[in-house]
Amino acid sequence: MGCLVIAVVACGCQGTAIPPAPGTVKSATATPTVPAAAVSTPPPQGTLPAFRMLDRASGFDFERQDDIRGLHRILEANGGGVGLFDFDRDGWVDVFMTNGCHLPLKDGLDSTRGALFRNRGRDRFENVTDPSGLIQSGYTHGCAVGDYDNDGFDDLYITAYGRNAMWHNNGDGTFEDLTDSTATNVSRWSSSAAFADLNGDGCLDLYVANYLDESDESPRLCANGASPDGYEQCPPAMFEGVDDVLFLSDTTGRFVDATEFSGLTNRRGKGLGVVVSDLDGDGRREIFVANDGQANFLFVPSGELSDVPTIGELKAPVQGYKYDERALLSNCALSEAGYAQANMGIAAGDYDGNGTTDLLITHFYADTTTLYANRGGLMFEDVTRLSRVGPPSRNRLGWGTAFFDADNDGWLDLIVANGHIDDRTWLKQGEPYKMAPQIFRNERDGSYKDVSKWSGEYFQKEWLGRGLAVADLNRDGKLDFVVSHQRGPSAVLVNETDTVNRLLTLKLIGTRSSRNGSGAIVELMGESRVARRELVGGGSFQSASVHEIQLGLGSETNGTVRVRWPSGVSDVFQNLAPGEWNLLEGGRFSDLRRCE
Amino acid sequence: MTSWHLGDSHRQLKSGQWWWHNPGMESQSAARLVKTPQIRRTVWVMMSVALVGLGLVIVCWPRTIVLPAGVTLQDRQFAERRFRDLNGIAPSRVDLLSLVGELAVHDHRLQTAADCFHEIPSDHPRYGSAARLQEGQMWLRLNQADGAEQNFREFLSLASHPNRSTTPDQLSAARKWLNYILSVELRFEDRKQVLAEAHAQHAVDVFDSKQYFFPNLLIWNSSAGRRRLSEFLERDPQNRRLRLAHGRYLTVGGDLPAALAVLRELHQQDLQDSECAAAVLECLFEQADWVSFADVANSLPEYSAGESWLLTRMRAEWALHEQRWDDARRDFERLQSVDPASPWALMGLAKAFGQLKLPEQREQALARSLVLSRIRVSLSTVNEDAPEASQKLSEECRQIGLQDAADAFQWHAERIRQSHSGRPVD
Repeated sequence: MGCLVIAVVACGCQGTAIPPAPGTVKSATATPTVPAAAVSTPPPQGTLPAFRMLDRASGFDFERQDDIRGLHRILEANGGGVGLFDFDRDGWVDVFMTNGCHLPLKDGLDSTRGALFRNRGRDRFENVTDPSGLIQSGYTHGCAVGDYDNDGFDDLYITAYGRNAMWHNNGDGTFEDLTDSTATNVSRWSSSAAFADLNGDGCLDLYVANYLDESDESPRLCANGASPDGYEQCPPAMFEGVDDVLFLSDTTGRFVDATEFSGLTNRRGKGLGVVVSDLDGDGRREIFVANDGQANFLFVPSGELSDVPTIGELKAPVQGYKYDERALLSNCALSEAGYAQANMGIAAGDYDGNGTTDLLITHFYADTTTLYANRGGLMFEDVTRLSRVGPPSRNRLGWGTAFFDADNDGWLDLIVANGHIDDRTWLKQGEPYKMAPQIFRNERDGSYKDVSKWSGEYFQKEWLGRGLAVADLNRDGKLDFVVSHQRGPSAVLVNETDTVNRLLTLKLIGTRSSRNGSGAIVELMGESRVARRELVGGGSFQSASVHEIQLGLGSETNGTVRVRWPSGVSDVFQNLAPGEWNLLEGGRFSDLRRCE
Repeated sequence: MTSWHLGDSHRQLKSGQWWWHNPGMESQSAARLVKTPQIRRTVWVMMSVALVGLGLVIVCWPRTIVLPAGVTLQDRQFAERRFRDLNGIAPSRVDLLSLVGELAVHDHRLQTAADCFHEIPSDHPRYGSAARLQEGQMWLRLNQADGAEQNFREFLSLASHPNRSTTPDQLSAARKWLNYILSVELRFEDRKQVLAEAHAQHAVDVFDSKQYFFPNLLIWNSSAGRRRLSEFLERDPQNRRLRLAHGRYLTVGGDLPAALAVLRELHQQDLQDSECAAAVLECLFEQADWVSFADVANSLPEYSAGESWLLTRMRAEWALHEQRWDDARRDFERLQSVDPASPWALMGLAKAFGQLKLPEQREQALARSLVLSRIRVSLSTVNEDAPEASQKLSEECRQIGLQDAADAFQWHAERIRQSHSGRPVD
């Protein structure tokens, strides 16, 4: 009997379970978003960005359908993207939003569709999805924009869970699904994609980042009795990654799958973001892929171009590079702490003005956004601490992101769309579901300052941000942006920053290089410094910013720019006045909005 | 118990008789008072009755057992009945303390329970060890971390004596709770010692091994840990160790100004506390404030083998920043020797090797970092239900030279497989 008493004692008296030790919990307490009015901190000196969200009266009215209904499938996490491009060449940048649908696909394929909004100027939009014929159904995520056939009209590639699609812009306001004839279908779970001329033949190639191996008909579900729905989202670590795909253009409007030839197979990444950029300044473009919970990829072309083996007859041989994966050796595979982070969106740009393209990657909750400063020679340095983007990003889960000059001072500011992958507000320790987006001002000393609380109402509210893209939508000389949200209306944010600084917007038109100048590097030759911008492929998360170069002039009244085209041609355009310009390869230029 | 009281009363009764019949002790006044035989007989009867009554009172009076404040008469009566029902005898004080303590736990009167268990001496052969475990649990539930830790440690110490009977479940519980406290307080070095003993006895599960071999791969700055620490602090706001941990949580949580305020104050209170100095340095490192970092770093004591891992790491980071590449290499290697799976050490070594023009060593360090990064992500899948995950982890550990970890997870994989197959576990 005495043993019985001791046994009761040994069981801990109250039958309590051992609470999870700290190491078992991958989460952190939510930091509630503080309303601007409650913030007593005085605003920092200097120009503060200011943005206003357009309401439905603007004609932009879009709410994405992700079929979020309690199962917490991992498919529901990624949400959608934004494509910003002037599809009708009227000078105004239009907006395409990807959409999801009911799952499984066999039942819900046609239940919803993406939406194309024609920009009518002055912050007005018109839904022209039906007349454009861009009827994209399915569970789509991202999009890439590029004029793959060099006909002067940007085309659209849409990634999906299921069938990806290549929509050819017919130039008359309509689109045509040419996925099969261009041979660009990918039937994996694709996320982001990027157009770029990788082999220098003057035609855009296409890189498709793929995410996980998952079934929509029998999705993997993770039961959790504590969750109100009985489930929580399974972590990506439970899924196998899948290889990305590289398509090389055959220069006639078709593509060749060069994944294996290029040495990109058997990588099994978990790609969420991709950007193509000449990171080492050797004239060839590297491919950087942000992998979720895995080391990033940095594919570096090696050797000379060689013929890609193809099946069937081609008019001309397709040439491509073999690639070495060098992220680890280049210090951009892992964080400074040696962690493979939940890499998602990518911002690419010369944030510190040293003449190289830097990379910023958004990450998971309770982890930091990571900024890799390009030190030249394909060596990066994790400057998250130095740049001060780390601490403010810890209590956010970031997705779409972009370097952009919000106040036209010539320095790249930073914007990040935030929101959790799953509703975990039921967790005892609390994690917010919706989150406020963030805008960081470039302090011109290699650091950023989070100025979100002074940048408008949109930044004080909480959203489920996903894809994000940047463009000067109303052509007022200030950069605006669009964010795709889950479980709520997506948003167009108009830049109302109070600044006298002017913007130079340049649309590049290649003649020997690809038509939209992909890969060109533009330098603004200022009195005190040279600002460098590159027309990179891809970037952000599942989204495509407008294919234009934007240069804030700061105190300059006009600008002299040098364009280094991918073909090797270099042009100098002197004393360009603020505004929007077409720059033709070979030195000619014209007013971008002449067609209006 | 009952017999003790009876015996006691009997002794008192006898002693009264002895006093009464001892001529030397008779006083003059008593002799004068007892004048007649009738009066003497009456007095005799009355005193006898009084003595018998007193004896009965002593025998039956339960308040002779003093129990802690908070224990009600109902508690006592219920416990007595319960004990008699179970054991057929009346309870002793320690019996009552134990049983009433359990009743109080059941009623969520934690302080009363803690007080009861506290009164049970550790050397009590029947209850002593268990009482320490129980008391520790009560203090933990009351957020009294120090008291809890002290009791768990004492329990583990008592359990190591061969004449103490403790069950594996009790041992496991004590270790886990102790590890939990040390984890919340970010005392990884102390935790490693506890886990080392458990590993030496093969008294570990997969989670113990993950904590032991990968202290810096598990996410330790969780909100659950922070929340618990704040509860500890609420109970014991001046506790220096807790405040230090609080400062570190603020640092890794990104609230650097608040962290620095807390840590600076602690540092000023005791400039000799190198653990605190390391926490200050960590915050300044995160702020990339190298000027302030130098102020603190220049006053650090010489390296000693037993110093905190964080301090060693900060020395290494400082050396990297000052481009003292050989020093950085040495310090990161020191860090690696105490935490072989430290990603900081490997990444730091890679930087140092790069600057020392040792490309092969750099590549090796980076390659090991890559494997560690994979291990880190996969750790969440390594659990008691997945022998293949332990097996895979074992192979990855072997790949980068973490032999002890490899052996441990190999053992776990086999153990889990055997338990799943129903075969006895070695």
